[in-house]
Amino acid sequence: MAAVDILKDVVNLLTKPWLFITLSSIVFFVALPRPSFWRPRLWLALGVGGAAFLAVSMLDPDFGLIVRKPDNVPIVAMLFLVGFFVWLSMYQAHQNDARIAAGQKPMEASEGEDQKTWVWPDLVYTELLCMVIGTIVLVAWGIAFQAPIEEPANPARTPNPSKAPWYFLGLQEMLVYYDPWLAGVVFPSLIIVGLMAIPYIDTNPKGNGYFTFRERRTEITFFLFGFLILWVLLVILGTFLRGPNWNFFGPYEYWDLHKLEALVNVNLSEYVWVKTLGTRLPSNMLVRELPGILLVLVYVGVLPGLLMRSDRVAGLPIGLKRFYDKMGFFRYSVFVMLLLGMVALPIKMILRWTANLKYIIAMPEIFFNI
Amino acid sequence: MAVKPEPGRDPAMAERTLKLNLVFALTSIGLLLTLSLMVWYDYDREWKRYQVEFNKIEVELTEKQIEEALGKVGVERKRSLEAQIAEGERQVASRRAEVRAAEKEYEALDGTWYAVDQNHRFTKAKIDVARYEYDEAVHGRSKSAASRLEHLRKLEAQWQTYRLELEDVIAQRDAAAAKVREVKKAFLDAEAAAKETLGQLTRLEERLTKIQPGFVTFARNLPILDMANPSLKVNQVMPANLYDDVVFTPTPKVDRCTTCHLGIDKKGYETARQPFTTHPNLELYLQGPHPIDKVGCTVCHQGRGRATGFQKAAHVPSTKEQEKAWGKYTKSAEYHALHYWDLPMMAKGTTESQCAKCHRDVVEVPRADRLNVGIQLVERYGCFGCHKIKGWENLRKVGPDLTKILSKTDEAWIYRWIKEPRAFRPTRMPQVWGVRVNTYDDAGQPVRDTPEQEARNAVEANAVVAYLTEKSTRDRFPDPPKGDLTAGRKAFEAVGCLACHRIGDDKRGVDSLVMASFRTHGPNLDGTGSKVNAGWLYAWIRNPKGYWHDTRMPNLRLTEREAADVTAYLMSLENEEFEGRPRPPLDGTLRDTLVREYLLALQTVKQADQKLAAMGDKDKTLFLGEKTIARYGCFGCHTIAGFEKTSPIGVELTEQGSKVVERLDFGFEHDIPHTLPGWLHRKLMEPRVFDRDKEKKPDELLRMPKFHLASDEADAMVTAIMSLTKEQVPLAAQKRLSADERYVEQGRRLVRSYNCQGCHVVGAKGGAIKAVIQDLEEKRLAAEGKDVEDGRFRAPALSPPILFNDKSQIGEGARVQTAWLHAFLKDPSEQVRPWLQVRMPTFEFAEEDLNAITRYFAAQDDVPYPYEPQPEIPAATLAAGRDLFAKWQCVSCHVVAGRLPQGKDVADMAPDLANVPRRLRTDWLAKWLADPQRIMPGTKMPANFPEDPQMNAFPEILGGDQRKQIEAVRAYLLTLGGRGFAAGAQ
Repeated sequence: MAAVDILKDVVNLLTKPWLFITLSSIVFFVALPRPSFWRPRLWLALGVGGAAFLAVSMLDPDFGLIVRKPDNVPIVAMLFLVGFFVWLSMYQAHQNDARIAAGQKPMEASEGEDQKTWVWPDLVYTELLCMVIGTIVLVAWGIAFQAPIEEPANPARTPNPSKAPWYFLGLQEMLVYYDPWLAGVVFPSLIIVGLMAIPYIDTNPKGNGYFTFRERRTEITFFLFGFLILWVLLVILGTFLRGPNWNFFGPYEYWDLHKLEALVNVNLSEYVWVKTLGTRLPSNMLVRELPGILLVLVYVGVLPGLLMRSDRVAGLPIGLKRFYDKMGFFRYSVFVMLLLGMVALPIKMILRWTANLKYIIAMPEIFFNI
Repeated sequence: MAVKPEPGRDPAMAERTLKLNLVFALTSIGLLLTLSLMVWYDYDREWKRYQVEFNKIEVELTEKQIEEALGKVGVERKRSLEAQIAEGERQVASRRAEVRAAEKEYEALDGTWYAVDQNHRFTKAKIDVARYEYDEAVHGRSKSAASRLEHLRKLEAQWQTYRLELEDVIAQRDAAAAKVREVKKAFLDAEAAAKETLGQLTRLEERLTKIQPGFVTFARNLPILDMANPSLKVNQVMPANLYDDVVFTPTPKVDRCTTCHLGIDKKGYETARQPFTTHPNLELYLQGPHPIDKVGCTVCHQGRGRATGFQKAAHVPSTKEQEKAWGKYTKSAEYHALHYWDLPMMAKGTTESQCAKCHRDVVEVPRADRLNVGIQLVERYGCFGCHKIKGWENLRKVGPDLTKILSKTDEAWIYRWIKEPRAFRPTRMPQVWGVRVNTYDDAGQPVRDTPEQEARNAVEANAVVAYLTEKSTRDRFPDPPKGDLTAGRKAFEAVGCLACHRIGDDKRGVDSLVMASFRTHGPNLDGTGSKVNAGWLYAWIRNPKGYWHDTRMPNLRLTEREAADVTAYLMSLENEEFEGRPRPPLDGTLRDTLVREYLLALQTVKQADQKLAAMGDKDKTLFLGEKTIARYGCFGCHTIAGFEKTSPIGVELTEQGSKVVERLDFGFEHDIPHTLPGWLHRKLMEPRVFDRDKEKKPDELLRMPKFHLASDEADAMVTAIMSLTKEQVPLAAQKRLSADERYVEQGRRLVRSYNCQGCHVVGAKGGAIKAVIQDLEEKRLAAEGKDVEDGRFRAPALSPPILFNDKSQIGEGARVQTAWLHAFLKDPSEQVRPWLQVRMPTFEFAEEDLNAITRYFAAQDDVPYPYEPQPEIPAATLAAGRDLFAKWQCVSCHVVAGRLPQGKDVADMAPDLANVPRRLRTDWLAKWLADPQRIMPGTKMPANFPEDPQMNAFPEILGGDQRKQIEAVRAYLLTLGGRGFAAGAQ
């Protein structure tokens, strides 16, 4: 029994937000460019292993309670779907890369693949079958899980935890790090606008009609990092690992309403004025927040210019010169703003985990915090 | 252009199509299966299984009833009736031609009637149209008005003809029908006779065929077909004017409880299993003044009326055992009640709490004993002293005034008393220290205070004593005259002290929870000699209000002699064990620690230390005393100088009954049901148990003292607390008090606060002292070697009178005149029965209270207030009355103008008749003379005027007529007292 408990403790520890996100990011960056990582057998093993992990973990009452919640069942199912489709595309991309490296055409362009099929019976019949199967799945699901209807909505007594619909839980998780106006308004808008802008920014014609990774390395990495780490992972975190009072609970932990966490986060201004300079906070709001304001101005005003000068900045391969060269000034500006917006989230996360940083700019007087 | 290939011609396509066909077949079967499953899951409901089971029980019961009914009628009788019908049929058959002719004639006429009646009705409809068209024409000044009127008149004439024709046809048809009946007479008579005898049986048999399951019922209840008219269906009641408050939205109540509780409103299912059991009180609820179709279920029982599942209806267990047994409903070890509904079902026994939602502004809700007792206990224990309850703010504090405490007792007693009141005597004063449950030992017994806590307790108690004595004045009372202990004891037992006080574990007249309050109204007087000084006691019993104006203790008008004797007796009651209890000296160091703790709560460490150093020894003690009193809230019950305006320390209870269970701290208590009543009960029994095993600083610990309640007392109080809800029942659905009822409630409040029921029976309860009087009488009889049984019959005559007889609904208001009652209540020294030892005390009522009480009695008995109509007294009647008065020898028992009857036992003496004209009401007199037992059960007054003239003892007077004789005697009685009596005495 003790071994099982230790194992549970290890999993509980691994899923702590800072460790979970950091480890996932490392795995992401390591695995993405390596074809050996996308072998079908490995992913079959991963899928089976994940299912086995779920099944065994279901024996734990606290785990079972969360995963079996009618709300959460489809999310679990979709996790497997996300995994499958990511693998499918990446596997084909790496295969094609190998073919292209060997001077062959991508699979999609090879002989035998340009056949046409008939609308009737092939397409229409298949669509009908899909409809039937979809209906079966929906009805069976409706029978198996009752709609999770809860108490009459009462603004004076909200549920704890109050959770958004599952597809917004990533946004809700962002609220841990950013103020509502950013996490709830600006970032979602940027996401939508950014997704719409992709065709205009990404003018790389490679990969049209076929999967490839090597020819679109940066584009795919940026997109999948945003989608898998900053969206799907946060949805998982918000769904399964956030309990009452939005406290973190490991998958095998009981959601105890009374669990306490010490709130000891500090603002950048406190770091600068109190901890470093040893003075009290200036009474003038703007003076007090000057360091943060300057930092943000540098981030959005100076950094784009700096990044466009070369491909390496301070020895790191993070320069964007080649993009600037390809895109031109206007397109680059839009691109770099979207990119900085996306990267702002992990930056703030890291600052929170390592330095307990609450806000870079904290002006509660005018409800403006970053 | 490619030729469109046919599937059959292209082998690859044919193969694909074949494959798709196969998949299609499989998925279609899958779809059919899932859809069937869907229909089944929608069809298979928990409540349907209950209805099927109940149907079986119902059929069984009806069969049993049929058997019983048959048994009553007798099989033979039934057969003979059936034979008679058969014989009738045979006779009718023998006259077949005649019957057939008569029936044919009738049928022909009935056909004619149909046609004529139709003409008649249609013409009437045409007339209405014609009248409308004519009105319209007149309204529009149309030229066609005249012609339309003509048309109308024509129709009316036609209608008259049809009417005549119709009446004619009806007469003919009725005659023909009579003729048919005449020829079928033998059969019809036999049928009617059978119907009369077998009516009940036939009804039951019809019922049985209706409920018995068969193919039709089966088909009606099949899935999908059951949308038409199934026999299994959700039953619901929609009570008028009642709403569920679904978060700011009042939603009309719909109670579907009867979907499963199918026997709830039917007799005969008393022993059926739940949910089929008959309601335990049909007469009061479902079929009585709270009919199920108007009131529903959930307004009293709470829960979610719209639900049709066990857990979804918010059923709530009453006990821990039930919570475990119900685990099957939620498929868990312990039942999890629905926590999405704020009004969980009332646990068994607490349902009465909901009465108070509609029965507002009443002292007691009729027949809700548990609620009434609970409310009374909340009043008596003074919960409102520490817990604000809306509507209870202006009640007198329940404990005595402590601003003069040193006038009656001393410091040492106060210390030992507050440290452990129950070591001295049974009391309502709660235990403040030493009741914390720190944990449980292996035997499950609570482990209480540690030595460190004990030391703190001693210091706190010492400091409180110091504060109280510092703030108390000392009135000196001179020593009383020397009294006789034995005479004192006798007087104490006789005059009526025992109506409110007890000595020792005296159980007389306090045998049930309902009766428990009367003889415990005042304190138990054990150990009085160890507590008070004789001078104070003497002064107190002679004039309680003289010492404490707000006391409820009345003045029994004891003479100096009596008072001295009673004082001597009470001072002899000592508690030496208590006097010997330790009183440790104040531990200065620990006191300083405690003072510092209190100072630190408000000041910086430096300030606190400075303050502490600057304080003198006495200052520190007084400071701690004040803080301790403030912390434990002693001022909630006692008037203490310096705490006149301090707000109470407890949580407000005004809406406690609506508190949701998630907001309660159960601490580590897992052995109680997870419900509000379960929590409240535990809190009342062990107020600080929820701190157990918790790490808390001294100032964070729970403070409620322990009242040492019995479990059933706590149950009643839980019911009372549950009645404090935030639910608002619309006025239209509430019980509204009439003007008279409001006067009655005002009076009941006074009856409660002055404990009238300690002596008098008022309504269903009271008269607690009678048990004591009977006991003393039995002891006396036993000592004198007489029949002890006699005590039972003597007791009513020696006890205070019944003030309202619940059975006959006649009481003091109907009996006495308002003016007399007013004068008597103000000064009862002129006794109605001076030979009684128990006496009506002087309460020193304020004038408004006197008005309220007299009005209360009049309103309760529905008699005129304040003046009584006077009857006329004819001379002849008067003479007959005087005659009867003499013949019945009324004066052999009754006192007249102070003249006691000779040689009579006190238990046989009766009130002074000279007072009748100014004391009694005339209507009451007549009722009393007719049947005294009806008004005052146990009275020795005989019923001399029987209803039946044959039984009358003096039939020659006024023909032995009951009413006339009573009127005559009454007339005579009304002349007594003044000159009338002088005339009668001749």
